[in-house]
Amino acid sequence: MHKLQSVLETSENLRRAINRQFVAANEEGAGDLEPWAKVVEIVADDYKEEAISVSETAFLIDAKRAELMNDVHLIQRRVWHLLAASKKYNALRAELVKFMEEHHQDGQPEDGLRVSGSFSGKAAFVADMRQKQLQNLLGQLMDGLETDTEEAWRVLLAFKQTAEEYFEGMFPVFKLERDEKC
Amino acid sequence: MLTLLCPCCGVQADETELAPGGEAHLKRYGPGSTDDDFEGYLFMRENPRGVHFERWRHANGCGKWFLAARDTVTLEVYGTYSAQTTEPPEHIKEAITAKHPGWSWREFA
Repeated sequence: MHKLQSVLETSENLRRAINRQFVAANEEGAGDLEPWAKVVEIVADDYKEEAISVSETAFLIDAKRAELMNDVHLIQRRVWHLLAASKKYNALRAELVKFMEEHHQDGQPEDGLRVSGSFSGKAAFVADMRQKQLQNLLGQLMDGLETDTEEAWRVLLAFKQTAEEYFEGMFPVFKLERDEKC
Repeated sequence: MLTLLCPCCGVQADETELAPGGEAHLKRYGPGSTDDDFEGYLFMRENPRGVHFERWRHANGCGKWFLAARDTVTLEVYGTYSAQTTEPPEHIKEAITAKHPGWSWREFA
């Protein structure tokens, strides 16, 4: 349950961190910039909970919820992939910013973190290619976070309910929002 | 050394047998909650000088989770109780009140 809770927190925290950057960019008058320019380096916790072991979910088979067992293990892997994608995004963005610093013609910082600039010749081609690569990764990351955060929440609630029924009062009480009992 | 009575198996366990699990009685927020609620749950913790409620696991014993009320200054333990509760039992609240009249911790007092 704790590891599963941690999976949800990682995903939800990352999702909110990215969304906040869009809001902040708009508030700072940088709403016209490309998404990759608005979303600066993502502060993602390097913490990764231990892998959920089969021994921790084996009771789900006995509880006739084998599909939930699959979902529990799958969602952890999916969120780990998103975490890895956010680190990759940080690395690629840092590379692009460095490239812009070295090749821009009239670049300017928007607020110290967000940047814009113009390029010509080969530099323009490379910058455009790298921007598209970054946009693509950011798009995948945001899509994944939207889907997987909701999925992590669904799996968490289903796991909690199943464990409570299976262990009949031996399962600790977790106060969850949307949980009518608490 | 901190020792806690495991309410699940009845063993008076010293801290080498126990694993801390952070603050007790948290309310967890997920998708759809406000940013303030989510961040409050995820990042904000009590750090009192005095009465505190914590989650512990009898890791090298019965393996079960339980909750404990203790004093972070004196290490006095006011009691341990089942993790299947949403608030501290009355006898523990009374034990705390005897030592700290007017105490409060989150929504409990």
